[in-house]
Amino acid sequence: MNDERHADAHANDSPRLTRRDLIIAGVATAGALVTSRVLGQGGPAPSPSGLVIRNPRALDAEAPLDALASPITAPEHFFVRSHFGAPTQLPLAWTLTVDGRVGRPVTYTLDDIRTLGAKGALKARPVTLECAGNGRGVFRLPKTSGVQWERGAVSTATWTGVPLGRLLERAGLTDDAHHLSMEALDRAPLPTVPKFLRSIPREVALGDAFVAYEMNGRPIPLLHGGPLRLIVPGWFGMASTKWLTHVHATPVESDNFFMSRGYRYADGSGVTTMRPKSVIASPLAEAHVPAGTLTVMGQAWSATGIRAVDVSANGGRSWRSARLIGTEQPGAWRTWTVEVEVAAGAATLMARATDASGGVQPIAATPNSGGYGNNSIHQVPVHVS
Amino acid sequence: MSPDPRVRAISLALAVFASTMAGCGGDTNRDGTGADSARATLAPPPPAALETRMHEADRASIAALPAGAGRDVVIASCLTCHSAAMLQQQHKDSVGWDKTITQMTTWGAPLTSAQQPVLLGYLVAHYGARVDAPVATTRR
Repeated sequence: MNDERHADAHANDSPRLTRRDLIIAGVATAGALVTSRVLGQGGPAPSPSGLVIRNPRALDAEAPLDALASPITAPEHFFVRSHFGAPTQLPLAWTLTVDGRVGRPVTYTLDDIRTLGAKGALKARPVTLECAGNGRGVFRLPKTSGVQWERGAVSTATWTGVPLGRLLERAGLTDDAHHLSMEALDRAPLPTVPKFLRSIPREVALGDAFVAYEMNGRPIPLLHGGPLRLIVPGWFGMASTKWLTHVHATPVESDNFFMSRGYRYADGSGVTTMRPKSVIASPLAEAHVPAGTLTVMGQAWSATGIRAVDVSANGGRSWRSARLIGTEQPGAWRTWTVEVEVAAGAATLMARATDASGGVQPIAATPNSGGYGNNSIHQVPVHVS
Repeated sequence: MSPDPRVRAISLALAVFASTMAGCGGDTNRDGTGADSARATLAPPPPAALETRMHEADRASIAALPAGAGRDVVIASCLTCHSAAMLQQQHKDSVGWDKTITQMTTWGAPLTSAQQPVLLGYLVAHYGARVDAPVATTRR
């Protein structure tokens, strides 16, 4: 292979704070203040409970809903989806190779990528990832395969990395490179099982996708795809390949089993981008709350961004507009909060997201046999006294 | 090793699991060169408390497998790659589980032709289609 290695590494260069970083920090702070006020009731916020393990091997675990009150999810509360589990053997020197339909294959070291970041290609931005099967368990399908997620297979981290397009630039995509197929280091215990591979279209790869090396300002933990993870904002999480080692430029979509047969809606179309959805992070289901004014808060997200969130405290008979915190960050969820009036007795809280393209979260999403994309409105029963 | 095939199979499954987790945690292959430390710097390993919870949940799900013909086949054949919890949360009719068994056999699951109908019967009996669930449509 005609490798090109970049030796001018300065892995420890500290990236400068940009205006964008400051905006992100401001939004995160505003969201955190809302979270603290709602959850902590004036005192220190309680620690969110631990990951909810749905499958212990290979690990599939969802975030506890109280952890989703925070605009940025801590790694220990960030949901984990594994097909084969994390690689059991990490090389001492991790590399990322771009090959296939390119002018010349290029191999980057981690230092190369960090250096590109330090030289101005850096992207540090909050991005929300949601498992395509989030809510599958809520469908309660008579026949169902896969992990029975409830509502916590969604989280947001601040990811730092380099645009994938910048890495592809050096290799020079040929005109017929219409798809970029991602390869990673995870493997099934049996060598006869196909690898888990995903590809994304060229326009997505050259657009918003980036290769991350930090999660919330630290090296990405192994369970979350470190040391290198592709991040594809707006797409369901399986597109954001963990443990990334190769990017193959190809004329056609990957024919890997998990691409051509997995992640398909019943009509055969591919499962790609996130639907408008919201989650109520406070109060939690079955909480006891006092009658009167109740603060409800949570997060809302969609591939196209959030235009509005409406909240009902009477099972959907009337709705009140929630206040969206901070400014829109493309690819990231939006923290929202609203005050509603509740009277003694049982009440059902509901949150309904409307996205920038006008898509409205349905009361009950139409089930599909794969259990994908369940964006049914979150209904939270509470006891008011 | 115990002569009891069930215990032997459970031991094998947990050994595979322990090996996987140890690899995640960077606690194996200590070669005195600082390689483990370097790998941990590349990508920090899972917290020990989470590993413990995963291990306990894995063992508990094996213990929760109902007795009966087929249980040993599940342990010996399925648990090489999956936790028992992964099977236990799924619901499929005979056609669905048969399709899964065929797929897994194609991918190398250690199953003899004599074991396959035993496994199928066990999975359908214990993890069959739900009767109390709403009927799903197949539209998008």
